[in-house]
Parts: sequence; structure tokens; C-alpha cells
Amino acid sequence: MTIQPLLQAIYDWQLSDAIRLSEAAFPWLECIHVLSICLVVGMISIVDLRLLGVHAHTPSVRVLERQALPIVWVSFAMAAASGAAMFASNATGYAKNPDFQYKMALLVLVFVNMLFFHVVGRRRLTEWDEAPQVPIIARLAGLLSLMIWIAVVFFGRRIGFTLSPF
Amino acid sequence: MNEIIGFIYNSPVSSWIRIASWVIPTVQSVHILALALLVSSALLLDLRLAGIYLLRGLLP
Repeated sequence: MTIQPLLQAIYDWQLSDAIRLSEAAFPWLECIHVLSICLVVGMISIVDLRLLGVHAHTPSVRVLERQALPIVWVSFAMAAASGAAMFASNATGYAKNPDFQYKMALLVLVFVNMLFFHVVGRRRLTEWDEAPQVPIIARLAGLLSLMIWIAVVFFGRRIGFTLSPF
Repeated sequence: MNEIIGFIYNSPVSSWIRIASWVIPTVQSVHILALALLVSSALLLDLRLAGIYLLRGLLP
């Protein structure tokens, strides 16, 4: 594979080396990663559940989006940064880990689903913003999002149990 | 106290969780997903109670 030199370069990077050598760095990164994922997945689930008919403190999809999404994006940035740092510490090992590959593929899928909801699913949102039952296409996007995020957490947690040392 | 802990450790359910390799990551995933919903719901409620999040937020 042609990305092997790139992975090796990431592995050899000063920061990666510092994370490997430090005893405290990795557990801290894991804590930040899991906590920020909790907020990403939790907030998104609340919006997904609203699309599936279970509403939180407000029936309005638009209000819920406006309130949940800033928290989602800030948390996602934290999760991505801590995740990237952990990846760098053993880039060559993670890249060939099937659970890691599944997780990344699922993240791409969930991103495509988000774009799908944004472009198609939110059509005429003002008309059904507070309706108990939203259009089937939006419900489908919510269901897909919920299922894919659950799988992301599942495969993510498995990475820590299946990783070959180096 | 130690007897109680030993009893839990030696129970068939505990041995099974230790032996089956997929059980721990799966239980941890369920744990994390439940935490995600708990923390996020609490945060939404707290922000609502703090008056930062309104029932009908400022719509565009």
C-alpha cells in the first residue's frame, strides 16, 4: 500500500513518540475521547429520537437542532482531535486493525446520511417542524443515524481490545 | 465484605464475562451509550433550567 510511508511518518512524528513514552497521555486522551463521544452521540440521539417521534423539551425540530448542533460540533472536534492523537501514537497498527477500519467507514456513512438529511430529509421543514409524525424520509434518516452511531461506539470500543502492540 | 466480593467474583455470570472475549467490549459499549443519553439529557435539562435553552428558541 502506498500510504505505508505516510503512516510510518505519522508514527515517527515527535508528538506520537511523546504519547507513546508518556504513561499518562493515553488514558487522558481516552477520557477526553469517550466524554466527547458521549455528548456527540447523546445529543444526536436526542434529535434522532425526535425524528422517530419521541420528543425532548420542545416539539420543534428546528429549535432542537439549533440547541443540539453547537454542542455536537464542539464535542466532535474534541473527539476527532483526541482520536487523531491516539491514532498517531500507533498509526501503522491502527490502520490495519479491522475494527478501526469499520469505525472509519461507518463515520463516512453517518456523514453521508447527515448530508442526505440536510439536503432531502429537511425539505419543507417549516411545515412539519412541530408535527408528532415527521415525513418518512426524515424518520429514515433519524433511524439510520441512530443505528450507525451505535455501531460506531461498538467498533470504537472494540479497537482497544484487538490492537496488536506495534 | 471480602466474602461478598469473592462470591460475586466466583459466580457463573462473572466467569462467563471474563471468558467470552466479546462480552466486555459489548457491555462497555452499552455502558457508554447509556452514559451518552444520560449526560446529554442532563445537559439539555440543565441548560433549560438555567434559562439558556428556551422551549421555543430564537428561530431564524
